Amino acid sequence: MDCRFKAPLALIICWMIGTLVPGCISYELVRQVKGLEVRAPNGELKAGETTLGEVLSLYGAPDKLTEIGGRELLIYERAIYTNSQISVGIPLSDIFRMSAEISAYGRLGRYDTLALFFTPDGILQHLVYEKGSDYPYLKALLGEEGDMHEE
Amino acid sequence: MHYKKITCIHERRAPLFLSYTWLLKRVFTRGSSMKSIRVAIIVLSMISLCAGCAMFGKSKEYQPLDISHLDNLQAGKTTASEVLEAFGSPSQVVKLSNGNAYIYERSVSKGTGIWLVILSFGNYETQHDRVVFFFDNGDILTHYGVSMNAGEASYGLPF
Repeated sequence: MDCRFKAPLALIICWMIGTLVPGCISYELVRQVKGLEVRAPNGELKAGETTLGEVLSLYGAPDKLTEIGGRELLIYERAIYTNSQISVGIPLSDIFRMSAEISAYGRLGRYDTLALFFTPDGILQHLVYEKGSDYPYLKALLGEEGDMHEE
Repeated sequence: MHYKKITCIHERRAPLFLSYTWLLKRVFTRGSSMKSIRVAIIVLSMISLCAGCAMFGKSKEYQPLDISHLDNLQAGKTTASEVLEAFGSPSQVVKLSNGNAYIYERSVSKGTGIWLVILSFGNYETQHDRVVFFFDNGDILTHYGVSMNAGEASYGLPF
């Protein structure tokens, strides 16, 4: 058929597909961040020497503070949660009272943490630093437990 | 005249298409070029696909926190009651082995959402303003730490 409306019809079909398909296929990616990046302690913090006051002036107020066995624990932390979901479905509810849908999701929480233990005198006893945000999203999500520590 | 002939062909097969082209024909009046119709369809398609495609939001956990009062504090002299008088009720009190810590905190969260037909993206960022005062067992200020990061919260995409 020699039709002058061929191009507009193609566009209309594309538009209809674009309008109908969202009910069938969808992909969602959501990221939630709490806190600023935690600076790595590059030799500026020394166990047995650094005081509580020096840490507070370097890193500011801690995100968490608690007491464990007579020692003070200060935690500086950034949390990154990533959630992705893909759904594929065939909306048949108007015809068959049922719909077919399959979806998969992955949720991953990663933490950059600097934990500092102080003696009751306010002297740094030891520290732990972990940069969880360096782990790749898919590898961390799909890998077996302990895979990350084997590297 | 030419349009009438074409619409008759489509009328039997696809009434929805007919109404769409008829509407465009009415809008652009007779004699409009095909180019104008194509542009109109593209614009309408873009509008219908992008409708409600973006969201921005902001939420606050507010606590009046005037850090100018920090200039009046002196470690070894200022008492817990003076801190309470200056800053009000703390958000949290932590019992420590050699005293207490008062935590003052407020936060700002900013959220961004974008929907593009089958794709949707969301990003939420939360930052805090936080002041922690350490007191000894005699309720005398020993140290304090300040982090004012709430202003760093920003809108953005998740990648």
